[in-house]
Amino acid sequence: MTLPTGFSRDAVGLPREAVEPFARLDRRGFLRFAGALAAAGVLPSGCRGVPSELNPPGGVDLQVLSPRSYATFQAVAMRCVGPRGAGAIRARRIDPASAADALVARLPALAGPLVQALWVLEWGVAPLVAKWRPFTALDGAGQDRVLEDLMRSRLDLKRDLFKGLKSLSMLSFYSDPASRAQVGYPGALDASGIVAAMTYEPGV
Amino acid sequence: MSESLRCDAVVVGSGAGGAPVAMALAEAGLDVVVLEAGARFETRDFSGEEGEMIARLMTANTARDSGMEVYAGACVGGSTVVNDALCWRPPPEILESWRRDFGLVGLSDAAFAPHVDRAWRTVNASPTDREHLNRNAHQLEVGAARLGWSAEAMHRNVRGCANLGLCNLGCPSGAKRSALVTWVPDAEARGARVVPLARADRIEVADGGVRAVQATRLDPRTRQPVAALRVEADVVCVAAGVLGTPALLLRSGLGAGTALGRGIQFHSSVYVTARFREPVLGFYGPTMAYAVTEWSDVNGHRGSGFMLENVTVAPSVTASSLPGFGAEHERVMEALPYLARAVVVLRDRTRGSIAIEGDGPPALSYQPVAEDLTRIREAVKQLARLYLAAGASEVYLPVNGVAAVRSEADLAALDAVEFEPRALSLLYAVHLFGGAAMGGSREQGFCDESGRAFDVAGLYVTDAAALPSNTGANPQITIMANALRIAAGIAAARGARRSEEEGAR
Repeated sequence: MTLPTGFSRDAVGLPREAVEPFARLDRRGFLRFAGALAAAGVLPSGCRGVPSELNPPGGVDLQVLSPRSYATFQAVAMRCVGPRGAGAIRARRIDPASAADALVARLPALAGPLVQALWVLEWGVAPLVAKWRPFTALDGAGQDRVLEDLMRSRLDLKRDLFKGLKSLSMLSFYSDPASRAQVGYPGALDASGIVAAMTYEPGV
Repeated sequence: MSESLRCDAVVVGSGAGGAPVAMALAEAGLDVVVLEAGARFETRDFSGEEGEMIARLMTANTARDSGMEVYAGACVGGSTVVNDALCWRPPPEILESWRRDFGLVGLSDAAFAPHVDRAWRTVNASPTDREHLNRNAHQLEVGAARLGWSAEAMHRNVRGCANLGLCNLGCPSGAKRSALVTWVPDAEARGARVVPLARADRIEVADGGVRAVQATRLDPRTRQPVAALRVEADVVCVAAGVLGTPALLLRSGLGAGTALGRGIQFHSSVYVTARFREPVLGFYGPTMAYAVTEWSDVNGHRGSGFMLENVTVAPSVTASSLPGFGAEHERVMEALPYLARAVVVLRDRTRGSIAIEGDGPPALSYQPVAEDLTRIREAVKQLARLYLAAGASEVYLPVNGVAAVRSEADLAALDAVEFEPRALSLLYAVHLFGGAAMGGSREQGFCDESGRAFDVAGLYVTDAAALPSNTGANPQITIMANALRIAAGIAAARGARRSEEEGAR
């Protein structure tokens, strides 16, 4: 079985668990509404008021995410991966937002929905998103409550939002070799050695 | 910029349903061109890095109504490059059902047998020995034995497996006998031309027969269109996947009055994860190898229709599929070497459909029926019971908001959960069937039992889209065998026509 024709061809190039929740979000009116608000300049894209640990580091050349959506993604990832993982992100040993930015940069059709989803999470308020302040301005417990509300919602749209952001957070975090020590994963068994051996050309 | 080619037969797709056809037709002396929308990689390109390989080799779609996710390969070799190398012969109950329920009276066991044998040999489907049953598989074996359930090691299409645990990320050792290293080079050795990054857009039909395939060449980096390609041929074999094949046919304006786009079935799947007190190292060794067949309803079993199969514990996919988030999720992930993981492979009763919306991805509709959701719940429970019997200290169910299970009594919590697709941490399918199926009539399918479209001469469907139902077992051998069977018919018909033409001269 292969899929050369029309089968989510726009989705080629993204991890599987990450792709589709965002593709669904693209069809959701409330996200388009958020996008329209952002496009109208109602929602800021800068990082004013955002904790410095969430800001993109100097020298990072973001392709899709704005500094604000970078910070929002980083905040989501820190809550999703748990406290030790959050520490690695805070210490800049792992940068899931940059990884996610690089992934969706290869896929314009999904870049917009991701950015919109992050806008909704950052700027959405109750009853849509269970908060009254920007997501990045909440403390950890407050952010967890928002994510719990999305995860347990009876609204498909909110659960899609949660699944999409969680999946991309997990994939971008655990694909980073720096995460391996934390979970006891030694890396692909000799894969690099196998590849090296198979591409080795003996001298004459 | 545009380009044109001329050949005897165009094959759209290079996976399990396309590559064997290309080989067989080339072997019969036809000039064959294979169009593949994905890129071509070689074994040396497979790094084993999870994120990179998933991104480069796979694609996905989602059912709009249920949110169910479906995944497939998107490269030369198709899903055979990213599958888990499992091989089952076509279950006899399935062939019987196709004859009885779909009017495919010619699909006898004998008609399939030589093609099954050839597929089996070509990909080197082999028993999995003890050396290649990792501890992840062993936990299933132990649990099933303690509960008295039927179970077995599955056959795998490998030669010289190095136990890397990377079957589904493109095997870096080349041990997995995917289409990329079997049918495709075999076809090329017989003169077939494989054109990667060439997306078929439409099939041209005139005077009741196929004339050409219109395609678009794609940029290898951006996947954006770079040139038009038109390939003229009198025979077109469509093997673009269960969503791609019906979509291509619908975009071509074909199938009016037939069942095109309808009747799609999955093997719905969910993961269950368990923690053991001793290391399992489920990320090494064959990604899948062992099946609990107690509830299977094929191959002589009389269960309610699902199998339980061990599956890799690679970190990214494990993290994405575990329920919940935060500290509890991290606690589970930090025990990764101690985790075992298995997947439910359900023989769905649900039927779905696809439609097209402009040039966008196919719109998939697949809303699991209540019976399927009930059986998924039952399968999850039984898998949790098995892991507990095998000695697991905790079992993690694929339901957001449900706590880890430590005893059978805890499983009662599952009964209180509203069991519907979006409540699950991940409900997905990688085995898809139908949509342009063979049938005894236009109402039942798009093509007859020879794979030929009812209304278009020279047009064939040769991949899983041609299969009228799911199979209850990992389907690559069934798909390959059916493709070879259809190709043999095409070659025979062409030979007969040539003989007639020569006789007339």
